[in-house]
Amino acid sequence: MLDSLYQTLFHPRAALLPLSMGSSWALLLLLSITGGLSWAGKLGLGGAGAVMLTLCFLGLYLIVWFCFSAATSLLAQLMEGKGSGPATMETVTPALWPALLFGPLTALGQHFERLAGVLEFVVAVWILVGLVRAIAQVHGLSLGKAALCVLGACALAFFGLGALLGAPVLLLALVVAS
Amino acid sequence: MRTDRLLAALLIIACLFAAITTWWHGDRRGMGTAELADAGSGADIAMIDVYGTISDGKPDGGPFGDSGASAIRLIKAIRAAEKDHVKAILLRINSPGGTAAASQMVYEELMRVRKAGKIKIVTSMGDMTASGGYYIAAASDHIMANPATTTGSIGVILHVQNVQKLFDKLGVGSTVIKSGAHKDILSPFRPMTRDEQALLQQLVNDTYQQFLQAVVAGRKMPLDKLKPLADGRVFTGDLAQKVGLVDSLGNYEDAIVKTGALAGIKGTPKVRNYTSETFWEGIFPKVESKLSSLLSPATGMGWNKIPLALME
Repeated sequence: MLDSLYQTLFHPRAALLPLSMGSSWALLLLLSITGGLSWAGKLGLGGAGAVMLTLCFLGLYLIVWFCFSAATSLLAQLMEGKGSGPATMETVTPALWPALLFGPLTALGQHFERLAGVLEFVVAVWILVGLVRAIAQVHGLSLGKAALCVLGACALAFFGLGALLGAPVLLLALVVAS
Repeated sequence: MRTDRLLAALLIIACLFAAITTWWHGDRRGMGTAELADAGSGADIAMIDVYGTISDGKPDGGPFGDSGASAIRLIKAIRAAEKDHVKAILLRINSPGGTAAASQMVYEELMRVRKAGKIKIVTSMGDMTASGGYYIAAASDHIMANPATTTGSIGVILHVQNVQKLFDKLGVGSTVIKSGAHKDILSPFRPMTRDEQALLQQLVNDTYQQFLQAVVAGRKMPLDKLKPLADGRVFTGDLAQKVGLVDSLGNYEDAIVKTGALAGIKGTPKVRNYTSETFWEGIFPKVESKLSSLLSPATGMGWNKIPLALME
């Protein structure tokens, strides 16, 4: 895990080191904890709120990870990619390492909001580029085709997630509105 | 351990530390999402919302917490503002009143801050600042109301329902086993005795005297001048100014300017809301109140509390 982190953040040009399923879960948990705590601080929530947000983040990360990997894998295979679904899942997670920096950036945002906003955008682009490289690496595709896969998967994951979250949100809205 | 792994481990620890610090800092300050001043910069004026019925509800909401004017939450906001060394507190009150003890708790806290002399307190009245709402407002250095604001209602009311005849019609009876003669003094299942009425009148009178003393101390108004105004009647903001319950007329923006002037703030004051709702606190109480209204038609203050409300 530490090697994967070091390689992704300090040698971004080198190939991504795939993480095992266990390590991928650990990474997502770590990202959920930093994300949950940061947002709980931003929203002024107490301990219960922080735990709740962390669980929400974890659930969201897992759903997005699964949906995104499945969608990119499907699209990559349509473009004659060679990688499998599990291999995609294991290679996609190291690309998420930069998301760890959102924690310190949220703290920075308390004092320098604009600077933090710019840096958060840079990190988001870094993650996106990492995802494209991960898909290219695992499926043996060109960067252009991998980018198409990622964009297509983002759209699919977005609609899939929208459908998944739509029902409870709609229910909540109806209860509040009625 | 290899240097690269050590570096990676340190980075993880640093990121976790930053996240924990952000959460701790945010939680301690009880910050909301809608801040007019930047979180990092020191605000000049702490805005504190007193919206809805004042009660001793749950302080921090939580998933199903109370969204009204919780006394504990208000006190927490006042202390946070004090800790941040703000120059003034601006209370934005839109409340029909609340329970005596909760209103008193907030009043006492504000008076403590006011007596310390470092922070000016100003009240801006919204649609209504009646009874318990006025109790709190009385602790201010300056009260500003809109000409049409409904205010006053200085008094105490205790309302006990008697549903005995209804229960008789339904054939429902009850047996009371009690340790003392007055243990079921507020029972709605039997008529009140003369003794009980006298006891409760004493209780209401005592609470009323406390209310009067609070207004006298807060407004620096003689008791003989206040008493004729404190028979429960309501005033418009305009009338309240004429009788001395309100200092000036104006809207919320005027109140900010007045607060800045009283606190000696030069230029445009930075205002920060210390009680703004967070996302979760905004969503869940709406669901909770909806569910509560579905489950129980008799909402509002319980019959066994002492309300200082314009309307019970």
